[in-house]
Amino acid sequence: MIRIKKLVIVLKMNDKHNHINSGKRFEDESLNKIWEMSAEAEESDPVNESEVESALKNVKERAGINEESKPAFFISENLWLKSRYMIAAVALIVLGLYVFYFPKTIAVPYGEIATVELPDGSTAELNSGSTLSYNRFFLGSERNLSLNGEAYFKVTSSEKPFIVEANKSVTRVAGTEFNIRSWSTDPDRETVVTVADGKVLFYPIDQSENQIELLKGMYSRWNFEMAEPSSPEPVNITELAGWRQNRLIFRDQKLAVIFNELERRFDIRIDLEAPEVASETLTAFYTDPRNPADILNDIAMVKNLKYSETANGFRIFK
Amino acid sequence: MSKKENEQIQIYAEHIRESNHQYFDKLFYLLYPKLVRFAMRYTKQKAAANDIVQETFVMLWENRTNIEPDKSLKSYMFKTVRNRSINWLQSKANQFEVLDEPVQSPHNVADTGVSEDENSTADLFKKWINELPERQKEAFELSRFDGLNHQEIASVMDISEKTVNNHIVSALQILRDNYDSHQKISNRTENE
Repeated sequence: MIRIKKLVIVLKMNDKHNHINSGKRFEDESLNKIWEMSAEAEESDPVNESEVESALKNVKERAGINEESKPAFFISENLWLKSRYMIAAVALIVLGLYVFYFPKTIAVPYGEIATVELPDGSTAELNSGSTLSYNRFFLGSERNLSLNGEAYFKVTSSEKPFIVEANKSVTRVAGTEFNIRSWSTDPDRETVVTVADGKVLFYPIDQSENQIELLKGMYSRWNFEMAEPSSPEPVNITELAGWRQNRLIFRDQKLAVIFNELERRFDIRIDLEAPEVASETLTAFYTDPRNPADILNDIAMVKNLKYSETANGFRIFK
Repeated sequence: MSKKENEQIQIYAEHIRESNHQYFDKLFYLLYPKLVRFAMRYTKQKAAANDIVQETFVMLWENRTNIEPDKSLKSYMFKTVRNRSINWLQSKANQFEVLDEPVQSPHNVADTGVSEDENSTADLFKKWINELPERQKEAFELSRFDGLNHQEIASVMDISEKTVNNHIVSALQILRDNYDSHQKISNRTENE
């Protein structure tokens, strides 16, 4: 496999949001040392596996959770046989109601991309680590979905509006193609909607009066700190849904966001031990990256950082 | 606890809210040992800690429909266990006489005060951590051993993130001073 790597790397320093508590680094080096040493004083787990099992059994009894519903009293053979059918019938009805009313959730593992066919024939392509929930049959007057992550939707036309909720934002369409990126784990919990075809309405939840209309080739973004979504701007479609072709595209993206993306894409863990750089931004493009180390190498170079491999990923430090 | 684990817990939370008890099991396996250990820091008794954490899980299931998907379930569980543990301590203090079961906490080696030869770094640190002012000790242990971030600790202890940070830094400074003076003493004895 040929890897066409790295076109340009442009960087922009952004030191505004330096206050991040994620790393365990203290300015005073002697405190870091004490922090490391004190790890040894960790108490061991007080309960063993069988204690956990019996505790769980106890809790479930008290909470009334029972997996196999056992008959609580003795019933004669014949009656018992009949009542078994009754129980089965009741169970079927309950199951049926469950299937009808409870949303279906699809969670894509890290390192994988999945395409889901929705009940109305629309499709959703889900990026690694994304979660999508929807009502099994799209009952009611709307097709409601909720998303945490990134997805590319191809929506079949219908009278019923197709509505995606993501981190308090709402995207409402009739029939079109569009991409939503909305990670609750990213620092701003920002939602970015890009339209590939057709027309989309985008607004903060419960504020449809602040809606903006997005047409083909435009994008808008909104986060909790914005009163309304940004005005539509033109976008290169292949860029914003580039993840579908395995591309990685970061435009003025915060390092924290980039590392989150790499963790999901490659199913690795990245420990940023220099939290002060988390909000610095970077622009970089990769067409078909196979090895996260290559990307980290580039980032480390332009940001003056070091990195080393760990059991399940990488650690990044100054 | 890692970031991934936190995301995991939030996913569990959503399923538990929808009454899926399999995810309740998963959450239980993940958090029960950690929460019992946490409760024991207050109660010093394993049986009481077990009861408190189990009650907390029962209550979680009974109130599952009220789980707020945007809030950290982990913080909520730690906070509830902390409140219940403190209540338990207070009610215990109000009783006339309580037959203490023998304490089997692994860290109580340090809080006996009368210490035999405490040579290992682990034992020394255990002792010093136990001598920290109460709030500093709580914040420090939640951060160091339970892996909660500052925001989560702030919500568990009902204080600001800034105070959390101050507590942890002060705790580390005290530990450092203890360590430094210990080093001096042991160097001196070696030189004699």
